[in-house]
Amino acid sequence: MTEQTKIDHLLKTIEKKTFISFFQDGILDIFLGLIMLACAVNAYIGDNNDNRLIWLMAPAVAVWVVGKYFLTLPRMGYIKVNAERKLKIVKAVIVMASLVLVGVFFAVMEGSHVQLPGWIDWVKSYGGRVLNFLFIFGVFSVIASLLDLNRLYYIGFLYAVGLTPTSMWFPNTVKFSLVGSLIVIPGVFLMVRFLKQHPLGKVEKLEEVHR
Amino acid sequence: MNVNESNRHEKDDLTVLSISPDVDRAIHEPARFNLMAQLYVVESADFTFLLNRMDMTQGNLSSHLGKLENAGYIEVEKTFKGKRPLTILKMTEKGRSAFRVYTKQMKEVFEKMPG
Repeated sequence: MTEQTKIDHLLKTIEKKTFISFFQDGILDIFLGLIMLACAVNAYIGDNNDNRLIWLMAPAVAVWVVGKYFLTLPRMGYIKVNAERKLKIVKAVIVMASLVLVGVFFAVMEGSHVQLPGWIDWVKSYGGRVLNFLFIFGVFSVIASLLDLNRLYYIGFLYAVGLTPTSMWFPNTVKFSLVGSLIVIPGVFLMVRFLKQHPLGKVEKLEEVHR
Repeated sequence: MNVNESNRHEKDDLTVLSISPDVDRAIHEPARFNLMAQLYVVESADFTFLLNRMDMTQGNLSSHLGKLENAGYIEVEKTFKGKRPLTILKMTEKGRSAFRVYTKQMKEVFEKMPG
């Protein structure tokens, strides 16, 4: 490796560390885990009500917004990422949108009373489940790679397990609860560690002096 | 030791290390190099963020930022986010260019080192 390459590599590492430092607060983990727990509650109540599911997901969104605004930004400060990182974020959003669109498509097809094409039945079969698992895990892996966020591989694996139909083997409530908890618990640990490492008082005092 | 003697000793040290005396003094200091590297990889960052990343006291950080601002390498924008003061720092084109030149000079120093 030439010296210039080493310096470029070092700068890339600094950029990567800077970006991922904003995910050390555990809020993303808690957000994604709470979504899975919302699915668990919805499955427990029964009758598969999508409107109710959206309301059950509201606490996850609240944790994300309130957590980032009141916990992370006052402690971590604020950055605007560079153009290269912005492009990666846009790509990650597009990839995530593909997952959501596919999910919505299958939910609509499942809920409609139209005659379903034959290949949809295949998707429900064993091979389809494997494909479903690989698709979800693949989407999360691509996003993890784009965002340099290794924890997303773990969360992606759990999401793939959670969102692959397995209700014939064990109840969805149990599966969603287990998967959600396995995502939320490390998130809570990360958040506690983050809050200990970044006490608000110190930063506020220093900002006051700077003013 | 007067200022002239101090400068001469510093130049001698640089010669021993094969570092050109023309090296940019505003960047050739570990804390400021770290600051420049941090600002080089983002579009902009605020004071709190740099304070967290740099592990410096507020006074030290302000002093180094002042030197970089005087050199025209960074822009400082003081504003408010709600009631909280927000100091946004952004590297200028001149700063980016100076940082690239500096890293190129350092690369040459390492390449010329024996063994």
